[in-house]
Amino acid sequence: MTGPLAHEAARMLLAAEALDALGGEERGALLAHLASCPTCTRELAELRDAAGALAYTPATTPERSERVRSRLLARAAADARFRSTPPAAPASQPPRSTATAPSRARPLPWLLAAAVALMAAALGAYVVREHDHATATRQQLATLQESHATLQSDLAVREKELAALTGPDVQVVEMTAGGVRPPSGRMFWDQASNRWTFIGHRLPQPAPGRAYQLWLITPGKRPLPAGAFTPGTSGDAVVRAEFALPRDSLAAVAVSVEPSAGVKLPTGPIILQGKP
Amino acid sequence: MASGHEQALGALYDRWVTLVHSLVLRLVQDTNDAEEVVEEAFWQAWNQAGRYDEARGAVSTWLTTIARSRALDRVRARQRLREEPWSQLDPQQTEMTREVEAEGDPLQHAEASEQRAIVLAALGALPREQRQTLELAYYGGLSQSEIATATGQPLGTVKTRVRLGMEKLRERLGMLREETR
Repeated sequence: MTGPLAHEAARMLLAAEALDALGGEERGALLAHLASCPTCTRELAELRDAAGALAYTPATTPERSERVRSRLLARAAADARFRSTPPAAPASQPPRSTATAPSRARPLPWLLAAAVALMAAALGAYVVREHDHATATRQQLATLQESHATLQSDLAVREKELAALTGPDVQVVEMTAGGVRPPSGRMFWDQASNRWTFIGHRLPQPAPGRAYQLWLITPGKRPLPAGAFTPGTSGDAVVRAEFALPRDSLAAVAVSVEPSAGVKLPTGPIILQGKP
Repeated sequence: MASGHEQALGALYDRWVTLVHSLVLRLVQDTNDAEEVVEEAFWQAWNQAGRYDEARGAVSTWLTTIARSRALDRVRARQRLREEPWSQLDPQQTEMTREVEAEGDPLQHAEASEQRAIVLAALGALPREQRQTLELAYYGGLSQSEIATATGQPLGTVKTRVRLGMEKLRERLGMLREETR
């Protein structure tokens, strides 16, 4: 698509943009148009609020996590301490009185904006203002921050995976089978976080309608089903889960072939097993 | 003792956690991932609070947009890294590992439920194909071309459904809010 968008053509794209469903090329053209069209900018804000209403459709969960709340506050505290290290003071600054609270390096307008955000009601009235040309720059910044956040997200997942394999409380169960080029596997049980990671290699594709199923065998009890899976085309499989088992209560880990819908007790052949 | 900064963040969390957590859980379908994504969403919102711009929409829109983006990132990261979601574990044999959470604010819960009723009523007024298209975009994080591919519909049809669906939704929401005043 070359050349700037006509106003009417831009208007047709607003609904999709409000849903974050525009492809890259159309989006770029629309953003360029928005930089100089207050009408479209206003309408986009209204459509975004309508799209935002979709956030209310999932069933509301009443719980709130004290753990998350404390962690957030701790992060803010650490951040504020770091930021309140005074920068090199220019000579013109007056001496700071010891009776005042420590100065914060965050500028005051930021705090006011946060306070304004707290006061607004949910799905409130649409307040609109004229935009200046900084809109396009802000949107570019937003795009960069989104990429950054994506990378952070991937990193968080990887760190979690590594911890479940390499932590000090991880017990490793080697699993074997007979045969010439047998499948193999390991189950990593991070007893500190109750995270389980199964990694299998050289697993043949199960027959149609069948899948592998993991089992945790505890002494004297029925085997616990621990997830059904099919390997990738390379024969590798990774299965992750979290649940609590008392330490020293794992007798064995096994993989069997079952109907793909999963079963409550093993019925098919066991193709991998191991004891801790 | 919490500083003013931390108190404000705590208040932001208390005010919006019900909405954010419900949305994130619906998107990532995993309570542990949901907890992490909720934390990251509030942290991002906190760091970007200075950039919140009323002209771009309501606070709830801004917050849920951040939460939805982080949640979809997590879903896509899981898919990329071929992680299997834990969905087949027999619930009767699983011990819950999450500590028992504090009960949420009942007023906030009631308010979110009321808003939810309004939105569901507005969505219910849409033709089925338009509603489904909007849901694919919002919950699936799909672009219009991806929706066309996923549903086998022509791209033009998808675009029209998105446009008409959003216009109707906006209109119905406006009407319903007037009625409840």
